Amino acid sequence: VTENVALLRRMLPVVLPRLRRFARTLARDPHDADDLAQSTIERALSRAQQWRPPAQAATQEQTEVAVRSWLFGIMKNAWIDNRRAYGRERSLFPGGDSHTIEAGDNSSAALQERLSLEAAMQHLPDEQRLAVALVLVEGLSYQEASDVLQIPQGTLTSRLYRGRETLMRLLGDAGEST
Amino acid sequence: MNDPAGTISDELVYAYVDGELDAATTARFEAALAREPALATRVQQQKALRARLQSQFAHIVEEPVPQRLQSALTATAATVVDLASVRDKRESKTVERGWSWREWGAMAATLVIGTWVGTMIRNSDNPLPLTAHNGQLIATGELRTALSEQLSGADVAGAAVDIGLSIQTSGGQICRSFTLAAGQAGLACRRADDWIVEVISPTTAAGTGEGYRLAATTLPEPVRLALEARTTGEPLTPAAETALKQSGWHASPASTD
Repeated sequence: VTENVALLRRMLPVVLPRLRRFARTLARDPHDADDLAQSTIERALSRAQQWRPPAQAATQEQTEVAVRSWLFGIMKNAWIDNRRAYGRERSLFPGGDSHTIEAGDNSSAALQERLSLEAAMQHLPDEQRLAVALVLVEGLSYQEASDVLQIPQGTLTSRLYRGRETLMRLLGDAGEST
Repeated sequence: MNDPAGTISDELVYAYVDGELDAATTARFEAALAREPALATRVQQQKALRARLQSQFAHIVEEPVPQRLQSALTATAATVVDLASVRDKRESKTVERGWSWREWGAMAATLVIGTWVGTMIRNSDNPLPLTAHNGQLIATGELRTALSEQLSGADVAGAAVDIGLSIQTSGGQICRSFTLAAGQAGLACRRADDWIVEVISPTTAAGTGEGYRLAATTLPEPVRLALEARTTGEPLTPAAETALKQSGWHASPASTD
């Protein structure tokens, strides 16, 4: 067990940048996202004894994937537990809520583009956003994503399907530009 | 996959774009793709969406990881490790209390408030994480862990030890100031694999307003003087600390010039 904990601790810094990115797809505010990452690390370390490496002869890469899946799962739970704090209450109607896009100065077209995509992501229902974040942003396989979310693969693909439809609809013509 | 245009499901298009089709299905899909422009457009749309999402968030993995997250990695780990060592410490407490006053007296010269430290270490309710060896005080337990693991200024909720700053002495030795939640502050310097506590002093009541944590500027006078006596340079940067941590807190000979 001590060896597993040591291995986990060695892998944590490797996985941390992607953990931060996953957090940013969930909590839009960068500070909220880092809070989420921090509480995920704390939860993970307090449960480090429970973590098990994949197999005896796992490669570095397999170990990294295992640590990543485990941490993504912890982050998902931490996010759901604190949904209100991280997500804030948002309108379900894009454009109808002046808070959804807070571009103070919109000098940069790239910034606008980013904001509109982030806003669209924020309008996805939680379960669709999780599926989109893991597969389309993080590039996880269906198998790994359904492991992280602890749902059957069929459920994952149907959430992913609806998430894509919603995003395409929200982005509309903007989806084709750039 | 000889379907006429439009009958290939969205699910199949998505699975293709997500790289989830097996080799045989991929081959048949791509054959259809070559024949049907409408299908190619649908694939293109989905690839564009994926690419947009990925470039949207790509910059985040390139960002430097904020200090507080770096600290969370080591600091929380330290407390986790400590859980195991707490029991060992409880076992060894009787040994620590066994030191005679003669031995404490021998090291008083190295201490600013020698008798006070002696009293504190021997206090069975709240022993300091120190042990005496050859007339010197050596950091143990959570203090030793924090000195070796924690970066300066790490904001660790509920931690027993806070590290204030690190310096490199003119002789090339690394020293770090610390504050204990129990109400003491001090300076420890690295020697071989140990941290020698060179100065320790009670923190003043001024610190209680904000809890136990004290900024470097509010370190007790003896600790501040000890710091000033050892270096004229600036405290080490987080980057320098990280590098030193990896080398076991021994400055490389080159950097002492």
